[in-house]
Amino acid sequence: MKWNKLWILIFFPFFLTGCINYTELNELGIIESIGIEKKDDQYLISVNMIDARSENDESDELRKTYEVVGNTITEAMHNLYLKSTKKVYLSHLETLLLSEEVVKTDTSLLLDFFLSNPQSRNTFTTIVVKENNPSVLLKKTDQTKDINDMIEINNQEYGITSRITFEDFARMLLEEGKDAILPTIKLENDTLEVDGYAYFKDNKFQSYLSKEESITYNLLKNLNPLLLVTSDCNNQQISAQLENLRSKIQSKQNKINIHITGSLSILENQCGFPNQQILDTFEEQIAQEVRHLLNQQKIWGSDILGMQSLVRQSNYRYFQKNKENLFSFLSFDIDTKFTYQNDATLERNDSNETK
Amino acid sequence: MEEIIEQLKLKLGNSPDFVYKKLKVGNQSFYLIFTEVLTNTSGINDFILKNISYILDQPIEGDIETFFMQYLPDHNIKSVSSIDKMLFFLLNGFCILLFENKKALAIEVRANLFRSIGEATNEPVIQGPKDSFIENFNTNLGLIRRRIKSEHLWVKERQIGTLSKTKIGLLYMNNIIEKETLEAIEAKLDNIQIDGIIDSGYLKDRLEEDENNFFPTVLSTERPDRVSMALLEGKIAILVDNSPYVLIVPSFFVDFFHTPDDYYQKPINITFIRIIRLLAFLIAILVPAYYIAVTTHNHDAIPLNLIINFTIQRESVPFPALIEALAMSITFEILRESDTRMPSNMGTAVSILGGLVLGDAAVSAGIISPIMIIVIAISAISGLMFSSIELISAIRWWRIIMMLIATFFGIYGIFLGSIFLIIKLAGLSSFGKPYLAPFAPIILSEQKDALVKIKQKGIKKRNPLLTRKNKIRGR
Repeated sequence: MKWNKLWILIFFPFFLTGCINYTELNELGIIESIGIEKKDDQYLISVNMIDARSENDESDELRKTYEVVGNTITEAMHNLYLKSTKKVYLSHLETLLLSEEVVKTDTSLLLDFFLSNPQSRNTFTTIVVKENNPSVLLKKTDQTKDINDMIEINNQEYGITSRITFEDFARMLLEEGKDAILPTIKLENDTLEVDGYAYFKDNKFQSYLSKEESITYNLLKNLNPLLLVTSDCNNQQISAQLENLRSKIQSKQNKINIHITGSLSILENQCGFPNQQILDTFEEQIAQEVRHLLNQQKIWGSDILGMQSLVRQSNYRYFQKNKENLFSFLSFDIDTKFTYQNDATLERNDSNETK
Repeated sequence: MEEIIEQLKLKLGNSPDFVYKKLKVGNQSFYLIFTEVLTNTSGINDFILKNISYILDQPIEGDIETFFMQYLPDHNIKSVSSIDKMLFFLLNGFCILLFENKKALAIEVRANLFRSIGEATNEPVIQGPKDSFIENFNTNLGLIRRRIKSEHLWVKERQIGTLSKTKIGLLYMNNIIEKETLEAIEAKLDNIQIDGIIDSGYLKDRLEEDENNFFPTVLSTERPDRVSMALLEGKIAILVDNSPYVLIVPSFFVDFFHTPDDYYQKPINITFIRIIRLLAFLIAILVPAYYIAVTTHNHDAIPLNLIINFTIQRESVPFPALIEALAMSITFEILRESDTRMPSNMGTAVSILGGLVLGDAAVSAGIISPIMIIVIAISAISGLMFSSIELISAIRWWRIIMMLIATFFGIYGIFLGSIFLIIKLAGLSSFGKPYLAPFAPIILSEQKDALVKIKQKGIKKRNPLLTRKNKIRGR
């Protein structure tokens, strides 16, 4: 009897799964990108679906764009079955493009749809489309399929943006003491281009960060592997590259200490400054950028850097006591320290050799 | 004398290959009986007939058969007293000299019906000895004795097969083996009731402990060096007359992943190859099942670009993935089997027809997707990496089982199937020795020559499962 029970237990899981999930690959409509925008108080959803029926296996031909409308996101997605011959499959969704209007209104509808959908893995990149509608962008399948690569490469080599998944976005929206931020793209002369972040306040889109502010945000969040910086001196320029950038933000009640370190390589030195002066210049420049972003945060009232969350973690009692107006109590101590790594300029090398 | 001849003719159905020649030399008459097909007739002429007249010129002292035994120049002469014994020797290539006093002598004049020692065809090595067993018991025994010149190499002979009366030899190192294992094998052999043992394969079937198991628990090899290595480990070899394959017992799962090459090359390279073999084993069993699972249940387990490729390739295929995989697997098995059975001069035609025409045409016709051909090809090639045909067959069965499970339960089913496979393997034993040793149970000393291989000088101990009295190598 005991063994019978054990066998039942072992084989029971077999009956909990099985052919109910069976779907052949060619029956699936794999969705690669979704764009959500508002149209006449309804949601207009544009979907880029893989359509392998085409004999032509050119990657651009494979993607078919459907546009559907509904009163809710769920209804609009359901209406896809009016047009699609395949079962809608969300697991491979790579990009979610949101229009400004959608993120200006309640973002909780987005969370409800994607977080409750068992197919959705929520690891897709979420992006705000600046000055345009996602449906316009998604028709350019040759470009939209590479949006993630565009953001990735920009993050590694330029530093304006970074990849934020829907899961990250949801966490930012739901976490107390933190406001959300999303990367943005825009259509410039019919070509896609990455732009500064879009920032949120109380789960609603507010505005955009400038490119410099976005770079500083990435710097403070340790999202910039390297950074190209330039400085003026009497109409001349100094260019340098900052590498191994590390920023450390610590809180002691209302005092926030920001410590940024990195190594600096001089690329161009038209001013002929000595190394130490260049180091000092860029240390001050970066500190100023950070100070500017922190001030902007105060002005916007949007805590994109999560300072309130930091205070809450370090001193919960203080946070509870002052959380209504915490921003105005916060004071910042910014310390930037770069080390000189090398000098790539020919002039400097020549003079070194002469010595 | 005539009466005995009549009885022999009756027992042998008066078969035409038996010769009953009555000879009369001086006042002595006798019969020379032999079979033309098993005896060397020139040997009978040279060593028996030529000498008889010379012998009979001598004054006969005592019994005539004792007298002949002393004077006939043959190394193997036996006195025979019963008809059954006469038949036995006749059928073993002996010539019978039957005297008037109804006594007889059996003189060995076997014909050489065996091929010469050739290269191993199924277990080739890159470096190492090339010789392999043949169908002659004594030659096979000689090939092993040539490698192990020790008085501790003992042989126990017995006959199995009520009609074939096949000679079976148990070879073992008396100073190493466990007596209990030997007794268990002997008991099993003694209980075999069979008409004939035509090849060692007949015995292998009887020696397997779990009949419902696909995996082999008796290792069959055509290589004398492999048998010699096994004997030195404390294993027992079973030689079967007329079979070029020698059985090695007990055999562990890991033995089927080892080749004699492993001991002739650098250990670091061998470790790499052994890991590749293990990977090939897993690929052979699991890859088609995994492909079916990810294309029918767990689509999210494939990266986007890959799933796009798969979708394009599967788009025009009208069959479910399982049918597609089974069709390809069966086609491959048919090709393999026909390639094995077909004369070698027709092999090229089969290769062209199977490999190029069938594969390419099936894809063009939209019956099979190209990716399925790749999946089945990788799996099939990985399965052929092993020299044991039983292991290859076991892999083939488990591949199909896994494919079926994956069709119904996806990756979850593959995990359950894998657990079931491990349980099945762990439950097997070869003459009481756990089949998965040295992994289950873990034997630390044996890990030096299981999956990884260290230098031979570092392997000092013998497998404790195989010996208890002589644990240290080199003693």
